Amino acid sequence: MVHDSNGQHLAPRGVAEKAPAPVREGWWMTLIPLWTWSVGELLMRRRVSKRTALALVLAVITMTSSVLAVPTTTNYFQFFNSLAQIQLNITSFHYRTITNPSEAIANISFTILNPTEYRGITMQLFEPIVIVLASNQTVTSPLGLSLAQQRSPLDPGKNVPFAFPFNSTWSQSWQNTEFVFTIQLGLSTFLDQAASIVATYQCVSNGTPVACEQAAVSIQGTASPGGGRAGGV
Amino acid sequence: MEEEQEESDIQKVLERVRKSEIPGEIVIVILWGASIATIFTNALFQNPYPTIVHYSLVFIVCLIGGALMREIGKALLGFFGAMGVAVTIMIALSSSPALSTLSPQGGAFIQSLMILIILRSTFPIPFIAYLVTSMFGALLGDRYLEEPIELGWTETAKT
Repeated sequence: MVHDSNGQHLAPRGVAEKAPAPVREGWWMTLIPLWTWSVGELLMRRRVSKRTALALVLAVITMTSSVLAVPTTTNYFQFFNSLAQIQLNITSFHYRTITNPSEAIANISFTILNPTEYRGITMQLFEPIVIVLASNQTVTSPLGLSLAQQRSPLDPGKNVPFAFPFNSTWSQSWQNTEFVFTIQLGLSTFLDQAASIVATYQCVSNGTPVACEQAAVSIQGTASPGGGRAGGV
Repeated sequence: MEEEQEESDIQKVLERVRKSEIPGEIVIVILWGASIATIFTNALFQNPYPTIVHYSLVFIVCLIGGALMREIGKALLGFFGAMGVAVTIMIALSSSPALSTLSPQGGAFIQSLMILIILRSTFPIPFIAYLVTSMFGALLGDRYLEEPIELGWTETAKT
């Protein structure tokens, strides 16, 4: 006589149980053992039809792929979370006039920080545009600064510094001066094969370090599985 | 007396459901769709397009699903049902972050991109290929799998 680990009697392979089995209340109950029993073990113990065995194989494939999909789905959710939380800060702001009083040199340092645990976002493009406001009026035309291409992985908790100098006009008569930066960060992600992600930030500084605000996250260009970009989403 | 009659009716309905092929086939379609969805999800959320391995796994799943249906007509219906379940699960999963507070500004753009990726990954060539595979599976099932699906297979051992 064969017993299982709980000491319950098991019928030998190919031999029917003599006692009638209790009728289940719902057929769906039969799915529950799938989660707790090893299908291979059950198939060894009981003779089931080929069709039922194949249905069990399908159930096992579904369960296995579901379990395997959990980390990737979690990763996908973390990706969104991370994208929303990437921080751009102006950490130092130096602005000084040069010999000619109408010109000035600015040295501004930014840092980009990924405060989440997600790995897989890389900064690949830093494209700033700046305007200067004085007395609530734009006193310079929008100044597109040099496009900086620098691949820097945004690892969790790591500040990625980004510094650049630029020249601007300056007048001593300006009051309440504000520098408004619109910065587009080109991000490399797992979606690269399909489209590029661009995060747009706005930083308003009166010459002091500030935290920038994420204004938008957009997608540039879409590509088919075979490659080749076309259009925008 | 009436209670006994009601109980007996319920027993009859339950017994009829147990003996019917339809509940088993509904379970198959749900499993079929769920497995397609989870296999593609595995790919889409990290690549983002499925690789040959993912396409091959779905091919096997469609072959099994079709074989379990055993009839061309049922396999056709089952396939459409399974693809409906799969696409619904994938779109729901890929859209859910965009609807939650996790979403960044413009999360809807990523949501629409994911829908585009899902449709590009599944239509039209893979869809037609899997449809044909399911039909072929039904032919194999009709030839080699004659027994009904035993929903109560855990209850009694077969003699």
